[in-house]
Amino acid sequence: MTSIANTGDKPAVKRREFLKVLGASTAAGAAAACGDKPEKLLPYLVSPDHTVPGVSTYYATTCRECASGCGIIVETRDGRAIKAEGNPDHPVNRGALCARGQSSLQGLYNPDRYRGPMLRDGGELKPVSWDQALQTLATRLGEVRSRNQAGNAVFINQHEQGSFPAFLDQWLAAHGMPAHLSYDAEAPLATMSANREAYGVAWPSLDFTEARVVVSIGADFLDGWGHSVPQQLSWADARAKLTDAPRAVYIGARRSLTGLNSDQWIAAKPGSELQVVRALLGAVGRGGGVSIEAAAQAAGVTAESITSLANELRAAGSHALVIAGTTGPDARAVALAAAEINKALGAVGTTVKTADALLAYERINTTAQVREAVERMNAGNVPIAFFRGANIAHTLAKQTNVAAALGKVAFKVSFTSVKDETSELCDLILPDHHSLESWGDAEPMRGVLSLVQPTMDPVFTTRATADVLIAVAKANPATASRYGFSDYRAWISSRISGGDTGLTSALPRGLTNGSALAGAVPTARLAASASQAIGGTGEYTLQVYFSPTLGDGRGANKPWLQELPDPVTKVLWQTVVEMHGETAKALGVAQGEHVTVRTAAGELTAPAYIYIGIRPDTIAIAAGRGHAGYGRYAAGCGSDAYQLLGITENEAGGWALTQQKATVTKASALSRIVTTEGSARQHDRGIARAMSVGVLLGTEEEHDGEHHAFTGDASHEFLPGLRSPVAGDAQGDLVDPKSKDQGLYDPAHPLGLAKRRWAMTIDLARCTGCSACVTACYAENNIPTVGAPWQGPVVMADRTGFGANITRSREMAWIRLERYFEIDREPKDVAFDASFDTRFVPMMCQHCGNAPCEPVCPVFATYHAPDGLNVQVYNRCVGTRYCSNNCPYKVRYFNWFGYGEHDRAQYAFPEPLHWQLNPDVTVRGKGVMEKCTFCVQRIREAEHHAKLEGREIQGDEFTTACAQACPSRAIIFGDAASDAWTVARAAQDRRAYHVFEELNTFTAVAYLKKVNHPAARA
Amino acid sequence: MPGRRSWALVTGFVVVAAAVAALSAYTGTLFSAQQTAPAADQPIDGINPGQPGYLTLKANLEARGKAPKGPWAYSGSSNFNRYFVGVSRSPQQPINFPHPVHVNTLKLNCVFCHYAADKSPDPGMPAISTCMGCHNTVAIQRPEIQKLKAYADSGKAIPWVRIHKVPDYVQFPHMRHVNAGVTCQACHGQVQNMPRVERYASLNMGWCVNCHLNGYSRAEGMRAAGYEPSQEDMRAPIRKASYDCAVCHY
Repeated sequence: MTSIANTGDKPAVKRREFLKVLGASTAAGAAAACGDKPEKLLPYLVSPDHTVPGVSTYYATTCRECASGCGIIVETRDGRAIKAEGNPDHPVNRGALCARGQSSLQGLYNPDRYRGPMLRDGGELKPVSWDQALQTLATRLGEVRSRNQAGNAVFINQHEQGSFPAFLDQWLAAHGMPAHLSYDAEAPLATMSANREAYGVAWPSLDFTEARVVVSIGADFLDGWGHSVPQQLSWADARAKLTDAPRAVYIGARRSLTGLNSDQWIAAKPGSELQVVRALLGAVGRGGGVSIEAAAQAAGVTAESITSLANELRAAGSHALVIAGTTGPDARAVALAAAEINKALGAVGTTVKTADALLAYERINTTAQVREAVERMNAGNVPIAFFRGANIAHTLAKQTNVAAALGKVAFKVSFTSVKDETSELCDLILPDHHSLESWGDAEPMRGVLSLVQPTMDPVFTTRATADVLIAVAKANPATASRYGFSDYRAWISSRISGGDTGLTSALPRGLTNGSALAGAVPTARLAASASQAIGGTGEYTLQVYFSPTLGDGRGANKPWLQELPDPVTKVLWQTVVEMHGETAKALGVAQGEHVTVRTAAGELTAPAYIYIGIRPDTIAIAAGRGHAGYGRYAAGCGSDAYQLLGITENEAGGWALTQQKATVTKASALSRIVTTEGSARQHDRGIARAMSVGVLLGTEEEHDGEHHAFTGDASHEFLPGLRSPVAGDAQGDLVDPKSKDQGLYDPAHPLGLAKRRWAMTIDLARCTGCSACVTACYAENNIPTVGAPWQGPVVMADRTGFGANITRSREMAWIRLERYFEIDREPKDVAFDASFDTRFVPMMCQHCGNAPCEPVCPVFATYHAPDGLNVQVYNRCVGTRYCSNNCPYKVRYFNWFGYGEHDRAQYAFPEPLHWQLNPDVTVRGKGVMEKCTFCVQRIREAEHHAKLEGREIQGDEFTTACAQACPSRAIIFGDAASDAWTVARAAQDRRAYHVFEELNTFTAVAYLKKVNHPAARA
Repeated sequence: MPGRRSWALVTGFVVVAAAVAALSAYTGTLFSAQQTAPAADQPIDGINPGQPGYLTLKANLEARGKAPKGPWAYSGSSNFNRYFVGVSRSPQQPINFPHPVHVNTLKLNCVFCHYAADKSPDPGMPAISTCMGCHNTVAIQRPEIQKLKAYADSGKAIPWVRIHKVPDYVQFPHMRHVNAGVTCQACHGQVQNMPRVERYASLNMGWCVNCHLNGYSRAEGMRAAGYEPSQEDMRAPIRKASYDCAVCHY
């Protein structure tokens, strides 16, 4: 096998040491620094074909972080995967990738992965050899079979698309075991079941671009519900139609990210959604049996809001789109009624496209089936159990008592690749490859076969589960005849047209035609839900929701996702109890004061978080944190919201996340909220601006009053500022045509740097605030995460543990996704008001043409490059932080503890996480200021390519990491001085503005105003 | 507080240490007394022409002393101290690889082995398989080749001691320089005349910027490489490069 062409550790820049040596060099020379070993240059043994050291190789594969099956392209350098990007040819995600998909690399390089097979010996898991592990498995299987108990075996697999489920079922059948249970805690089973009944498919594709009105009843299609990337792409395309964009209405007790992106929020009481949607159904001509008044009464909203919504739906006709994804016990009925509205309005075929159905959830089993299997274990009827990826010990109701149930199973085998609560209870660990090391396939849409291929050699001594199963079957004379193929890759290629040649030729695109579906889809029987109502007693209804960043909790061991602020609450590394200001006032708690939430199922104490987007009679907690054991980044971080929920299931067998009434009492402790947010209000600064659609239509005057508390004298003709590298009035001598000292800044300089002006536009009508750009930036630019408890100093008792550094504002995110609420009232007024507007602004270095940071740097570490970049030279920086003080945008981040230095306790990339580091970007050391560089490494790479090919850089030839990942396509990057680039045209949009243009900063980032769609006046 | 006498001691130590450091940095490049190349077909170190190893010895002997010393005028060389602690400018390598016989006698081009230098930021250390392509059959009984074979057979990488390195905060794209016509020797010295590779240039920023600012002359580059520039080389324009910080530092 090949070795890696470079030395393993990338030694970080040690500026302090560098300075020390510099100072000493005139005196004591090399005697001052000692202890470093001479570095070695390790060559390959055999040079791999088709790769050049130092040049990236790209592999097309399929993302496995959720069930959707987006196509990704993984960039590898010298044999290591360093970046995951969307595959532009893929029909599901069209080149975009969400934060969770980006973070697949941190699953691959997770320091808490199993390094090899483990066997429980004397109560403890101990490493064993693969031979021994496979022998143990074969022996145990033989025992089970000889006792005729194989029929009671249970195999629970994390739901995945593709051929593997069918392969697994074949193997299980060959060993006399029943078909496996395909489990995904996040799957919206109720909606799928209703869709099957109403439309005949589990997941029709939702075409927002065709819609004029979008009504979401608790369907958080921008929060990760369903298939987030394709939904977000379609949503953003629809909203970018501006005057023809759909108006969106959100119905639910808590305004989720989807709710914040909607134009109107109808804050219906939890549990009342069914009545509301039936009232709407009645209003569009199908007898819903509920009057609008009764529904409004039940929901605690005005009848007018429902009446006008019904009118809008009727007016939109076939261009209406109603989606329901509530999480109550009656979720299936709500989804079914919503589907009936679409059918009644004739929207099926326009906005609800059943022909382009997404197949991600085919052959999935219900949570109820998995719970029943656990109950069988608990009854002592299961001789052997297998788990692969499915972490039931964390994601099932605590009353299911998974730990006790597993204790009654004689032998438990886990194929899970990373330590989690379930695998820690098992007896034999046969760690699977990560999906980026495996072969496989997926069929996200009918006839589209999306391939999974290894992007690098396995990081640890793991083995693909399919290959383990093949080896076990081959070793057994009874089954060997059925397993004639050499490995799983051979099995997959035998199912693809063209066989091995067909597979090889399809791999570069990662796509081919074909099917991977496993024959008939098992339809789970509908359970009669015991109670359609929310149970328990208490003044408040508890709404648990899957975290948009961590999902059902599977993202919690990835520091990028832990450190990604929740798009709604902006909380990270922490679990909070969300409540309205009125509620907090009634309870007498302030933000950060702990409250104890009690339900019939359990209790939880966590800090209160005051959120204006939640009904005062409802509290909400994000699931995903509070792991008992899931690696160093998850264990002990936050609290587990699942413990507050009983077993209540909906008719479709899905676990109801909104099922309990709760009592809330004040507890004694106080925590700082771990958040990156300063203020949720703009304070008239005009950072995030919006205009009404009426202005674009010419029916309304644009009133400029909402921004510009201070009118500056800056020209609103900002393009001249964008066209030149340094703003005209900032150039001083350079702008003087007679100056002989323009150097590289002279547009006529033969090197031609000054003919460019790198710039960016961000369309706020598209941006949903999902924060995928933030994680893309972490991945591309080697940004350290700082929230782990060992990374912060232990000085103050209330600033220890997870997120302690964040409470001191030491986060390093080069892009900050700001979220502002627009509500016209005094901050002290906490009365409930559902009519606020929300603005999202990705804020990164604005690369000002007249940058306030530059003149204050005493060492010229930050300066203006001739191509318009505001450059930070790490090796010049001495860490005065004057630049950050003088930055009006607060986008400069100081590296306080040397998070990039491997010999420090605060090191952010413990082995092997540092394998992901981008070799094109410096890993910054302690005491250095850092900030967005506009991905200068990508600019330089494009320049290298162009130069070597003897041409100029072409328009839109490359883009920054944030723009590439953005699932809303909101970010456009390029050269504003050349009309060949889209950004030059986009910056001339009438909606364009610069943040703080009154400060004469002449920024290179132009934002395009959000467009609001207020309700049509009756 | 050290007394007067101790202060003198400290100062004395610093002076001595500085002298030692300077001397050791310098002597790295010095060779044993220069020998004159023997006349054709004379035995060298008791090896006759035609015997294994003769060509290598001859090439080494002919090369000795020909490679000019590096431009240490810009020394101060922070890199040297930070990254080459304990490494002389010409360290002992795990295998005594003789560049002179490969380049001067066998006429191999640099990019024959360092094959990525013109297409990647990383010039690429040749894989052992590249060496073994010839040395499976050529000179297999020689002790250095035996060492090479041992590495190849055991599957271990050869731990070459690194002597050229720019700090991590510098991005140095080899391919841009090679394709611009900069001779390898302009930065690496006449490696073809180094029986043991030594570091030629200080690789510090002043040395880099010198060329970026004042420009690279093809004629000078050819001379640095040990060749007489052609008329065309003499006519070639001086090529300057950007000296903007963010061209290399990001």
